[in-house]
Amino acid sequence: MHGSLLCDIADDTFEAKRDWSLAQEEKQYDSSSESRQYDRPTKLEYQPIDLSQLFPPPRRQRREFQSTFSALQEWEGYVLSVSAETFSARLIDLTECKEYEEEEIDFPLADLSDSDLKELRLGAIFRWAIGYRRTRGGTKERISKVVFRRLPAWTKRELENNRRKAEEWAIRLVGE
Amino acid sequence: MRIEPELSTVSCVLLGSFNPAIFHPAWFVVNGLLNRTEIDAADIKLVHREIAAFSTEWLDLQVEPTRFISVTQEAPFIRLLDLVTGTFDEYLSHTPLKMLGINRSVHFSVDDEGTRNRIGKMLAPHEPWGEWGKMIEGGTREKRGGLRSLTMEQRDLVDREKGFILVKVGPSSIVKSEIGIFVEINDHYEVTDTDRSQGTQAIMEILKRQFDTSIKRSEWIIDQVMGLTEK
Repeated sequence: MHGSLLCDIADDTFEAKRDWSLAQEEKQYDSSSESRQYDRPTKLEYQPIDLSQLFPPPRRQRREFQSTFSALQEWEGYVLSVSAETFSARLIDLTECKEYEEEEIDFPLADLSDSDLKELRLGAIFRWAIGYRRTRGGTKERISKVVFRRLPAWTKRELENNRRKAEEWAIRLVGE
Repeated sequence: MRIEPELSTVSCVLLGSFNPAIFHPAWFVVNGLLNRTEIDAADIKLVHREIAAFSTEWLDLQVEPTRFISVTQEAPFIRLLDLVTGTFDEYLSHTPLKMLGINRSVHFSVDDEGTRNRIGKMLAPHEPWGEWGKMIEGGTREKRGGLRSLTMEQRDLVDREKGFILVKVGPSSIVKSEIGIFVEINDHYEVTDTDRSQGTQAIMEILKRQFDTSIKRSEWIIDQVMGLTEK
């Protein structure tokens, strides 16, 4: 599908360029005083366009994998406090399917990427995964990765739904 | 999963109606869905009215008029969920979405060719194929035949209006030396009510509710196949 799309775009571009080139040749021929010295071409010669210079090579369905990181263990946590060099957090063990926070850990700020440092604040939710990163070349390294979640603000729709549910519960409680 | 995969992938595929031209990496940065550092290093393949495709360190994104395909090979996979829900819950909530696929795939090694062949024959025995089954084995290692691809489907599912789980198993093209197995799970959900498929709400609710559960269930299914190495 992508190959035919690229061909369509290329064909459109080629025709536009060819038409433009023809117009320029006609203009140049007509305006030149020396033009009579040359035989008027009966067939204009086109400069072939190198399509590979116009478009990048056709894209594979998915890029060749460079590396893959599989988590052996994963937690979800939220930030309790932030100091000059560390932040502390409470964690739920997702791998063991725990439902409540059972662990509290200090993380070095140096472990965070620059972009994740910007997300660091009290109450921020993150995932912490440890496991192995494998490269296509066959190397394997143990790594630990903290990623802050980009959770959206409550939408108007969600706030309205929650308000409605709260009212329903309040009516039931009052009824009891 | 009892065997650590050599390649591990999660994808989230949406079927609906999209305008690929708007899915430029800069759009994601402006809306806080990806950060500037990720995009500065991005490999932008094409952004056009018919297709948009780019890759970052952890994300492959491809958008066509009827499909939105987001793929990652880097845990924590929750980043994919946050990106997709951020895009379609907050900013593009009027996009008509009809179907969702939460897909998990792995390539893993079983350490030797004999084990892989044995697993292949457990999943797809040659005997039922009669006289031709005897010919499948082949005379030499180079010309040995057998299982190329097997797909199983589960349809009786209580967690969705309509959908299915497809599991595909076959030899791995990634793991070297013919000792690898590939398993792919397609966890498919559909919205049957036409009105509810006019926006993103129904599909996004399914995605948020099911993402972690789906990944866990897929890994449990994959582990069933991995367990065949011990039988």
